[in-house]
Amino acid sequence: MNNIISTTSWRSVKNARFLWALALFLLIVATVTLPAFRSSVSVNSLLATLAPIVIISIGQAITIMFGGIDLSVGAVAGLATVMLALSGTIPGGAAAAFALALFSGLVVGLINGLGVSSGINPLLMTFAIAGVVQGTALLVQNTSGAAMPLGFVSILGTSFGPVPLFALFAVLVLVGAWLWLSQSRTGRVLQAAGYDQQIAGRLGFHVARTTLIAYGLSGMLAALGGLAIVTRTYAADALIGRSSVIDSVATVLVAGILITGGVGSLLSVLPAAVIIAVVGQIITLTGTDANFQTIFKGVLLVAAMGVYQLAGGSLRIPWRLKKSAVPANKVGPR
Amino acid sequence: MSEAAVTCSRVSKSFGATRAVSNITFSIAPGEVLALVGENGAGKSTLINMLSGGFEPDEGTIVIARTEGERARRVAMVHQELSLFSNLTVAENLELDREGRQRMISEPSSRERAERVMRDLGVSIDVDATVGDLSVGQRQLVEVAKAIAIPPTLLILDEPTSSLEGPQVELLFAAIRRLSSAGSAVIFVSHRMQELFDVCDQVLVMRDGQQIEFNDLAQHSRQSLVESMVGRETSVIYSDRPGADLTPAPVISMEAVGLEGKFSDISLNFPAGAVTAIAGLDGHGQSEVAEVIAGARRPSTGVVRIDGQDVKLPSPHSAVQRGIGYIAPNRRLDGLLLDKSVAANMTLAAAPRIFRSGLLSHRRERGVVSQVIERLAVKCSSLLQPIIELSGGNQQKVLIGRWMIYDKLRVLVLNDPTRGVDVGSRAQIYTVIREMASRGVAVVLVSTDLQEILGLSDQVYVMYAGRITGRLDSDEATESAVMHLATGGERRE
Amino acid sequence: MKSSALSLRLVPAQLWVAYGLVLVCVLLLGFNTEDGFSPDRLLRILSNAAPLGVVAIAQTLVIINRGLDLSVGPIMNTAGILTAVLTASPGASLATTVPIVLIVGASIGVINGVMLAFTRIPPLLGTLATATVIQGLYSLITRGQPRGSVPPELRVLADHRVFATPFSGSLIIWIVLLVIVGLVLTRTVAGQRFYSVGANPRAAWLSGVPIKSHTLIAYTASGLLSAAAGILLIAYSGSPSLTAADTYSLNSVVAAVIGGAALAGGTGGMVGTFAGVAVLAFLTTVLTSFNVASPIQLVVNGAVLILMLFVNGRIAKRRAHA
Repeated sequence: MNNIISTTSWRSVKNARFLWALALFLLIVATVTLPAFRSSVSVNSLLATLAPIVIISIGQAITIMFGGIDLSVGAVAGLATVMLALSGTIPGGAAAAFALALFSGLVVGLINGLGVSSGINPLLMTFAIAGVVQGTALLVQNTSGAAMPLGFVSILGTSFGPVPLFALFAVLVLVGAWLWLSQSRTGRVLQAAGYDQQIAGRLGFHVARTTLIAYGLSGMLAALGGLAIVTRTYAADALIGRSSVIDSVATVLVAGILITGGVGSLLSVLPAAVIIAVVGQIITLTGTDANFQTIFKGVLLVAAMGVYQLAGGSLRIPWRLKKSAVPANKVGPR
Repeated sequence: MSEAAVTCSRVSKSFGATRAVSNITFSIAPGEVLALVGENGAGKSTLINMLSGGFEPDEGTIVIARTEGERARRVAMVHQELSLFSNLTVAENLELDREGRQRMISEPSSRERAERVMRDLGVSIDVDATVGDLSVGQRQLVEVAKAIAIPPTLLILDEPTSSLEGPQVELLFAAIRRLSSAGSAVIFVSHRMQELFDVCDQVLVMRDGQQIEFNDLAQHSRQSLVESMVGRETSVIYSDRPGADLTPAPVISMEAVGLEGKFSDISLNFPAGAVTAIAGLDGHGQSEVAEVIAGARRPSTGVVRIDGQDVKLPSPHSAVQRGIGYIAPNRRLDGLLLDKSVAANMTLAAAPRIFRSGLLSHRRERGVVSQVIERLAVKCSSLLQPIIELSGGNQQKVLIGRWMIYDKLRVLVLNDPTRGVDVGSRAQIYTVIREMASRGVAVVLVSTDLQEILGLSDQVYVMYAGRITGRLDSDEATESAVMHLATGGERRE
Repeated sequence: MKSSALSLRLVPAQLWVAYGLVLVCVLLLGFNTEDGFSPDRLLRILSNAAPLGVVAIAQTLVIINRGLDLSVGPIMNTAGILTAVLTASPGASLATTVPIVLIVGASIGVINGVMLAFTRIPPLLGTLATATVIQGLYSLITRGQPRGSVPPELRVLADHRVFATPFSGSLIIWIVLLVIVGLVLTRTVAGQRFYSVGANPRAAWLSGVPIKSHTLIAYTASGLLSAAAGILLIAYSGSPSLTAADTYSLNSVVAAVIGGAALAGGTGGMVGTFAGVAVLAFLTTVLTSFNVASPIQLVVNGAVLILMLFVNGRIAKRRAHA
């Protein structure tokens, strides 16, 4: 394995040992202490909840690895659910609507990429796009009057035993994205440019193209995540992704992917999501006030940052997200 | 075979009003190694940027011979700023550099390629090491390996040995010799005279953007080369002055100060009214010593004393409060507020002292700043002009001005103060520095510019590998004496 | 008299665009409705925007210092909830309640400030975490139902005119705060230094500027101003809410950025931020007056923001190459 995967990726995976151990530990604790956790229904429900957040977090992780961020993932997820409900009104039915949903996610992502590569701060660009997408999704939702293709959705929502189909998709996407990032030229450039965009520019890398790819993927994966959510909710809801932004950012943080860019392993998104989901489930199943979940997430963010601080990693987000005002490859008189 | 590898004809380039390079003409035959010498700001970096295709000359032509053989890169450059990604391994960095067609990278072949390149260079760096873990010298070698992986028509090395230890330098020279016998032309930019004589055939001397001479290196001795570089102006820049009195108790002193990984057991005295230099080759700890005095770094051991009292300098703020001013080496990154005006930049440190009430007064600001602009002959259209529009020399003058107007100043720490500054500005800056010294300021001068050190200072401490190798009074300090100590020699009594 | 601290050529260009946009909205509003250009109407719109205006002041200050405060919305909510709870308790009056609420807001600001000044946590994450914790806390404590009520004296602020002038109390408070902060930023050494820290923190640090203090002050002020904004908000809305101010976090950033502040720090000002808030306020009103459905308003807001960002970016680039 060591010889097939890039050394850096392999090292990042090994560095995340603690995370995997923690996830496993939590799973064991939950299974042992909570009878409710053990039921097959419960496992299925947990996996069904995990799938969308893992998928969306992969997209978020890609943009964060690239040194940016995507605040539009929630809105895009909502848009995807609404798009699927259009299946009654477009030729091709549900399958076409599915493709359309993914395609819209891609388009939104590409627009984000265009804005970011033209110099707009990703924080602001994706936030603005989130507004546009959410508005658009609400419009479609209000006017379409179409209905969710129940048959199609229930097929998408089938489970093999306790494992839902989308959970399998999530794992496939995870491994696929990880391999892509590690072994493809574009993926490597993404990691490099995410770490130091100035050097990347100086060396002549296609930073603009990589930006489009990173955000395009994030958009498409956010759409896929939205479709995963539909298999649970069976509803077209433009606002369904409200918490997805914070959830995905928290997941990526806990996964150890440095917000500075270029460091961390995509695979760690899985144990990170598991940790957050299991704790959430424990909170719900033990009847503790749901608001503790919110506090927990905040504390988790603080703790993750505390770990970074201790690890000595230097984090410089807002200004790393900006293009430097002085072009990197202009060397005037020193 | 007689076709030149590189031909420059009457090449010129200006940036706004500054003529960076004018009328350069030379050629390099395949296999020849050209030394490119000149002081800071002579135009070398502009020239090599044009050669590597970074930008086009305004006038003149640059011709780089076509090469036979597929995929041989025409010009490879090893920059002074490293272009490696610290989050990736050596092999991955080398891989990224290839203009490959295939989308997916095969890890085993990538590693194998990297190993071969490192072997050819004769370097034993693990290709799986993450670049962030490598020392600066090792990184520099990887950069060189990257550049020569595919033999180029022209290889440009910009100060390639500044971070290399002795044996590593030998590796580099061996590689250069191999390349040159294989037909590549090489341009070697360096301040280290000895190295140039070891490996170069020809020399191009630049000063103030002009071509001073283009000749066989064998025609020169070290002395004559330095003279050619610097011109007769040495004596003009550095005015004669009576040697400063070094006997009074020092304003600031360091005793047995150490900083892990950078320097150890440093004991220095900086008397008021004198310019004390810390000389040495780049990267031997002097810069970090300056930062400790400035409060920008916390030492691991030892004591810093001001007026005989032990003090702690946890931040530049505390240092400034005690009268220590600092001018950092990289003004674009660490000195200037690029978007802001000349006035804003100049009053950055002294503002609370200039505006005692805490309220800004434009009249007072104008008065103070104009005085400095006049004194230092800063060329700017107004004191509100954005400092980014000024030339390097004028920007540096503003930075000097920043501390000139600080009335509490007792110690001025200068770290590479005239990098990228033209000769004229330098003369003015040196005059002002000497004036400040004669008014009682203790000046600490850290510089890799030996002429500057010799011309300005009243005493010179020399560092090598993080230790003080000796101290020289101004009459004892000669280039050879300093270089001897700077390359690890013992103090000869 | 313009301060030499501000880069003169950068701000005005973006200000022209922002104020131009305000003008366009006002014109559209005037031509489309009967009230037309009635100053009373325009002032009312601005008055309703006072909460956003005050919190935008806070955000601008933080952004100038090269920071970001995403906890301003939850602090506003906290202030509203706390005010309602406190005034409902016996023996309380506005005179005692308001200072307490402001102090609470400032304290949260201090926590943010300490965290960001003394650790290397990036402001985006740090304040996001604070925001989440605060949200969780007040959701928990109120069990989802904020109690208490808004005292009528407070509602007067938003509704009634002061001394027969056409300005409401909220609007006056906003303008006064704008002027105070604006004067501090342009006329004092400390204010000028916020710009220096934002422009190049390392250069400022090396020149002896107390970076940590400035960061601490910026976030404390942000907390304080956000609490004030929260009070203004419930004065306007009449009831405390757990979520009413959630959008204010990002909207305050938008207002500041439209007004010329850059997330990289070192630029921005009160004049610009006022324009930014006005743009947001008038834009919404114009769209509503055209009976534009709220989803479309979302789209338009987003599109306008992108346009402004793009334009500001081009202006900044042109300046850098000049």
